[in-house]
Amino acid sequence: MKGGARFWSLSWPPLLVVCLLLIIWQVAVGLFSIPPYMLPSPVQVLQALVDEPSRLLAATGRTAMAMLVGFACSAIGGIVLGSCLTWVPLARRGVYPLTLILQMVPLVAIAPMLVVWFGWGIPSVIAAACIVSIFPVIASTLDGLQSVDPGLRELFRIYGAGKMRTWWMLGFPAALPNIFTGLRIAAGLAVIGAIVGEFVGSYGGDQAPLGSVITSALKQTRTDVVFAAIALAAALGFALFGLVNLLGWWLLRRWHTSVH
Amino acid sequence: MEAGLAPGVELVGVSKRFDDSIDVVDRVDLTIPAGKFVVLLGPTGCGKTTILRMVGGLECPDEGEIRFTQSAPRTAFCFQEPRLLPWRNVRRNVGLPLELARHHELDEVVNDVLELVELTDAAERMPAALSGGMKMRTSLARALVSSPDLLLLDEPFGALDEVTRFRLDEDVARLVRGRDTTSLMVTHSISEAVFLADEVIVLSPRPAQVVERFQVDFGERLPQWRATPEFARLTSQVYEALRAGMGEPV
Repeated sequence: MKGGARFWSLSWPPLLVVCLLLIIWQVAVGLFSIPPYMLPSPVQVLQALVDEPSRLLAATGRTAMAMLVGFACSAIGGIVLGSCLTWVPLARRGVYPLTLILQMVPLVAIAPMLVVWFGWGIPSVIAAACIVSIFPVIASTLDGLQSVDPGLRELFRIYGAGKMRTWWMLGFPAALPNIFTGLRIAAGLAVIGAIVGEFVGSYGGDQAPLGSVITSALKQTRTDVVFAAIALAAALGFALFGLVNLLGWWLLRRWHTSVH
Repeated sequence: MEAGLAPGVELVGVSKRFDDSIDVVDRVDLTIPAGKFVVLLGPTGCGKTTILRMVGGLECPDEGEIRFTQSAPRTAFCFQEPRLLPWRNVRRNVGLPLELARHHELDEVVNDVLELVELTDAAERMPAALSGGMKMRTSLARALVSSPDLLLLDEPFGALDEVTRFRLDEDVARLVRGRDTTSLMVTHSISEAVFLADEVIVLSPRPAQVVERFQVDFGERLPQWRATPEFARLTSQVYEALRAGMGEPV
């Protein structure tokens, strides 16, 4: 099957479901006379997007930047930390449970502290996006590096490869399929982290990102704008997930069964 | 990479235990002459692979000593399974030892070896797209690319069909014999042992001890060698020694 045909065959079932849900939503709002402040109809949400495109797109851009930087930090930090934990068993036993605790602490609870530590605006939002998305990357890197074929490790030992070269030429490529599983999860979490971070630590007004747009629109009971912002945030997460998937496919396409 | 002088290897009273109780190798004395192709033959689980791994430095003997006539010989392994990196094509798998040794003329040396093992046309293929025989040939090429002083072969063709196995044995004979390399091979196959070896060492069931040694004084190992009465006679003698070592009536 050619690329376009394959893409279409994969895309049409979820698109059909989304279209059906939107139609049901639109009909339900009209049928039960649900007031817009309770639940706006899809057409009203679309109208909000059309009415304020520049404000919403600028907000999306700001959130996208924080999400991308946060995700990049969690990707690099997670791979580095996961690798270090593999090299030092004592650190793994000491630090790994702490990263688990970090995962268990609700982000909403620590987000105000991030504002105290990193200040208002972008830095605390980036920190929130990074903190919430780093754990899957650490866990998947650790998993991938620990499951490297012992026979291949032995081969590198025979040829006198040092720790760094073994990591770069064996551990890292062997762990890539696991790492990409972690990165896919992290991509979805990064946008959640960014939005929650913006709820607590972002500026409003002209500099407002999507999280601030949502909170200010809620105060004005502009639920159509709230839903429009949510849709844009979801689109951001979806786009990042797609990018990660594409990169994973490109890197693994020649050798790993997961992309065949 | 320049080849050095092939080392002789001597095992003196070497023993190896696993889990502190199971004797796998028991006070083995063994000499592997420099530049010779020696094959260890014995029943399954007798400790052949353990001896090979100890010679290669992958296991330490619990007792005894392994001496080399040359200090720090350049060692290469060819394992039972090809152990190829799935994300590297044939060329980059073969070049791995040189890359790890930061060799400068990597492409040139790799191309030469690929030609020797007749893999030039498959050089850009990934391991998943290779047959079992081609994977083992890639593994053999990787072992040869660094011009090892000591080549250790751990039943590399055991999982292949008979025809492919014969073909690869002929490749090994062509590529390894005549080089300045000491080779130690482990196998279950009597005909493979007699075809390749300068000397066949028959081992007893676990714990491994030397039962008998056979010198194979035959020149170039061409396929026709398998059809000679001398080959049949030696094969039969080795078989009898193997059965005697297992305590079976001959």
